[in-house]
Parts: sequence; structure tokens; C-alpha cells
Amino acid sequence: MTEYAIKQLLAGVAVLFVVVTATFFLIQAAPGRLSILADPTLDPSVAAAIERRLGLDQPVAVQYVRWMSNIAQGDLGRSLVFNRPVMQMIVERLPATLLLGFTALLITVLVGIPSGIVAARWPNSLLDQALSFASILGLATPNFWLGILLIILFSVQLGWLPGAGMQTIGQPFSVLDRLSYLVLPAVVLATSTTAELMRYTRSSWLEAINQDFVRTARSKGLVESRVHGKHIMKNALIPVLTILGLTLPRLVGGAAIIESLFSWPGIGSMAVNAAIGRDTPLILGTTIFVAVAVIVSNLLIDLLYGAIDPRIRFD
Amino acid sequence: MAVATTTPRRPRGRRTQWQVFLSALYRNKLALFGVVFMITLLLTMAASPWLPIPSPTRINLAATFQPPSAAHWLGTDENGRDVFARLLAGGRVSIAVGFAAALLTVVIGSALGVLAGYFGGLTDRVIMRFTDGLLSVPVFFLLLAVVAIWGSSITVLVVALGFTRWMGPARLIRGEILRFKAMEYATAARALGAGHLRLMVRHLLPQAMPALIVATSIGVGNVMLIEAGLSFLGLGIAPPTPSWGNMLTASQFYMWTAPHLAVYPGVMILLSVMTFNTLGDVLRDALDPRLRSSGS
Repeated sequence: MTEYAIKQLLAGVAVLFVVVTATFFLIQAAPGRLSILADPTLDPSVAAAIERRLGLDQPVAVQYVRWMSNIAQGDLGRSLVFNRPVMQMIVERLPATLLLGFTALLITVLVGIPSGIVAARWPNSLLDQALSFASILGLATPNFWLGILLIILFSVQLGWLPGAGMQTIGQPFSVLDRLSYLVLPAVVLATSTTAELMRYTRSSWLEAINQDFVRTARSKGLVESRVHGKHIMKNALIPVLTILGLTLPRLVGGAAIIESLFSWPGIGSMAVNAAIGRDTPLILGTTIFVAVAVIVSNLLIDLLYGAIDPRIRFD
Repeated sequence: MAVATTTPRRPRGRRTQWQVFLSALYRNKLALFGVVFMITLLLTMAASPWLPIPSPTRINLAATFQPPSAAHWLGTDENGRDVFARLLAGGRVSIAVGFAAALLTVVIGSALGVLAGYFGGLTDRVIMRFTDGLLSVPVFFLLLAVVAIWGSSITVLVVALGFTRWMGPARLIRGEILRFKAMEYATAARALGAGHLRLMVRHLLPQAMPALIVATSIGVGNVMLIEAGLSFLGLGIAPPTPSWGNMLTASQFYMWTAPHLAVYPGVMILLSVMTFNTLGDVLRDALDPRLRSSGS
């Protein structure tokens, strides 16, 4: 187990190193200068000041070492637009993103896994076909478009739910109020991941059905509900854990669009605004932060996976 | 293994790959519908110069938010531009970007996948670790950073999407190469003196063609979704060039007055992505059923 854990950890660190290096060269390889500096209306002395602040007047090797050591110390630089440390801005907005992300993850798991199991329990039934159709739609729908449609329906036409923001202005915080703002973005964010998880659960379940221990369980005379509820469940759901790890990047990436659409004050909408405002340190810092967060979560999932399923450690 | 008989090599009733594909397509009604939709759309786009529709960029502020009429088949938008013409023009951009970027992902993915599968050992481990690692990075943020630094243009979009979405194809192709590498014909070619490059490019890669086609089809759908998202945020295809994504940006501001404007581009994206996804499934079943379990 220890050897497996160390291997996973090293791989995680290597990927982080590559991502951080890649972001560095992304700036270095920019055509001519940073696009914010290419603005012809910008005063040359201001441009020079920005270059000096970003250390762009130093040799590449010096810049690279500084970039790496700053990030290793948790320093992601300062925002050009807000003149504040990027890390501080991320920490401020992180709770909103975590709330939205975890709610969407909860919806994904609570809807995706049961519906996948139901589809696999009665394969090719009408229900299975309906669910499969729903998952094809879920994977092909642009989530922001679904968001627009739901805002038009529930906020504009029916007036049941708010379509933007995180709480009613001028009112004290209440759970019910927060939930009313959370429902639409969380549901929209969870659509494609739910569809994906359902598909995966279904095929994982169908694969488990054909294994020897299932035949043994049946030949012992176990009722079908017990075969499914106990023997298949245990074996089918372990691989589902991996796909859950793979849905994290999709969830986080989707959060950028969905937060913007719903004016949700998290790091996703901050990143989009930074990209629109050409605030390079802010967008790069957020990207690196998000990459670290997702890679660390995947690492934890891998370790958990190794602990639950001994087969994986000796792969 | 088949028993040797006197039957000719191509017995009656054996179907060509094309026939296998058509019958698989016929069985998957959703994909069939998608293909009919896509062919109709492509033909209409090709014929649009000869159709009686106005220019997609002609602004007429005296005729904004018109309902559908003989002159404007789907009405007009907030600038009085013809919605039908814009859907066609936007589709051309969205589909072209989708194809170009998907092809690039397959080119990069197959280069790395072939290298990993063919050489194995350390090369394989390094490439696949990197592939898995990149799969766990939220690519959308990376794309935001690229667009923020490089500015957004169709070229930047295609290249950036190509370089961030190649992991699925790479894994798929690697699996294929591993399988074919072990076959007798590859050993025979090696025995005849074929070098590494020749083996990879002439003998192994062509065998992986079905996987490449499947990966491209599924890739087009994925890329179109991301492009639509970026364009919607104002970070992809920039107006006045219409794309389905940036047509939705504007519709957002007219949700109260003209909610129908939000419907058309979204439906087009949904149908196109569904077409390429289901077509990928059909191609996989028809060309190479063994790919079914490995996914992409």
C-alpha cells in the first residue's frame, strides 16, 4: 500500500510540475507581448512598469526559477486590475464555488448512480431506453444553454426562483433564501456529469452481472434482488469511484460558465472576468490553483480506491 | 477458427464495411435522425448563396425582433439581422472549428498513442502518466488562460482545443497499437527488415483507422460544446462573425422580450453534438465492435 501511495503521489507532483511549467511558457510564447501590453492606447511608461512588475525584463531562466519558487510558496502573484494578491482573492471566493460544486456533485451521485442501477437491472426495458435517451441528451446539451432556458422558465416566466446572485440583497442570510439561489445553477452544473455517471454505472453493473460469483450466488438459490443488492453492488460500484474522480475537472470547468451565467460570486466567474479583462496573473493563478485542487482530490480518490480494492495496488 | 472448405474467399452474403455501417445506422434511430439532420444542414449551408435569404450581417434597426415571415424565415434578432441566415453562417463556423480541432486532437493523440504503444516500457509509462495527469486538469480554465494571453481568434481556438483535448484519442490509439503489435503480420514486417518508423506509420497506424474515425466523430461533438461555451462568454468566436455560441450571448439580454432567440442556436448545438456522439457509437459498433468496452 505504501509503495502504491508513493507512486501516486510522485505522479501527482510530476503532473503539477508540468502544468505549472506549461503555464509559464504560455506567457513566454505569447505572440510579441502580453495582449494587455499590445493595447496601442497604453502609455509606454505604464507598459514598462507592468513588465517590470511581472519581471518580464529579466532573463527567461531567472523568471522561470522565480515563478516556480513563488508558486511553491503559495504566492500566485498580484492581480493587474485589482492590485491584490491572487491567493487572497481566491480564498475569498472559494466558499461560494465549493458550495455550488459540492451540491452539484451530490446531485450527480444521488441521481446518476441509482438511475444507472435501475437501467442495468432491467436492461433494454422501456425505462432503460428512456434513461439512455435522457443521458444522450444530457451529454449533448450545452449546459449554459440549459441554464438560459431554465432562467427564462423559472425566473422570467414563472418567477419561482431567482436567476442571478447568491442571496437576496438587503435581507439577512437564511438557508431557504440561499437554497432558492442554489437550485438552478447546481442542477444545470450537474446535468452532464449525471448523464456520464449514469452511463458508467450502467455498464459497470452489466459487466459485474456476467462474472462467475454472480452465477455462484444465483446457483445457491439467492433471490434476484439479493444478487443485485449485495453481490453485484459491491463489485460494480468500485470502478464508479474512478469515474467520479474524472468528473471533477468537468464539474470545475463547467462551474466557470455556470457561475458567470448565474452571477455566482465564485472563482469560476472570477476567472472568466479575469480572462475578459486580460488580467494575466489572476487567470493564471486561478488556473494553477484549480489544477492543484483537482489533482490533489484525484490523488485522494486513487488512494481510497487502492485501500478499498486490493487488486488495483498490484496492477 | 473456420474450417477450410471449398467456398470462395469472399462468400456470398458477406457484407462490406459500408453495408455493416448502414445497417448499424439504421438500427440506431437517434443516430439516423442525426445524420439526416446533419446532411440537410450541410446541404442547406452549401446552397445558401442561392437561397432567397438576406445576408447574415445586414443590420436593419427598423426591423428588430420580427416574427417569422416570408422574408425572414425565423424572424430577426436585436439588430434586425435575419436569424435563419445567421444560424447557417454560425453553423459553418462552429462545425468547421469542431472538425479542425477534433482532427488536430486525433493527430496529436495518435502520434503520442503510437509512440507509447509501440515502444512500451519507460516511453509508454511517461506518456501515459502525462496523459492521465492532463485528464485530471480542468482544461476549461487552461483555455481561459490561453485566450486571455493570446487573444481569441479561430486559429488560437483550434490550436488550443487541439492541444488540450488529445488525451482520449491517445489512450484509444495506444490500446489499438498494443493489440496489433502482437500480431503475426507485424512480426513478419519486422522480420523483413521494416524500421521503427515504417512499422509505426505504414503497418500499425492504418490498422487503427477505425479507432481514429470513432475518436474524430466523438471529438467533434466535445469540441463544439467547448467552443460554444467560450464563444458564449465572449472569449471564443468574436462578433460580428456569428457562431452558435455567441448568438446565445446576445439572447441572454433579451430573455424578457424575445426568449425565442435563445432557442434556435441551442437546439442546433444540441442536435449537432448529439449527431456526432451517436454517430461515434454507430461507427464503433460497425467498424470495430471490440472498441465498445474500452470507451474513449
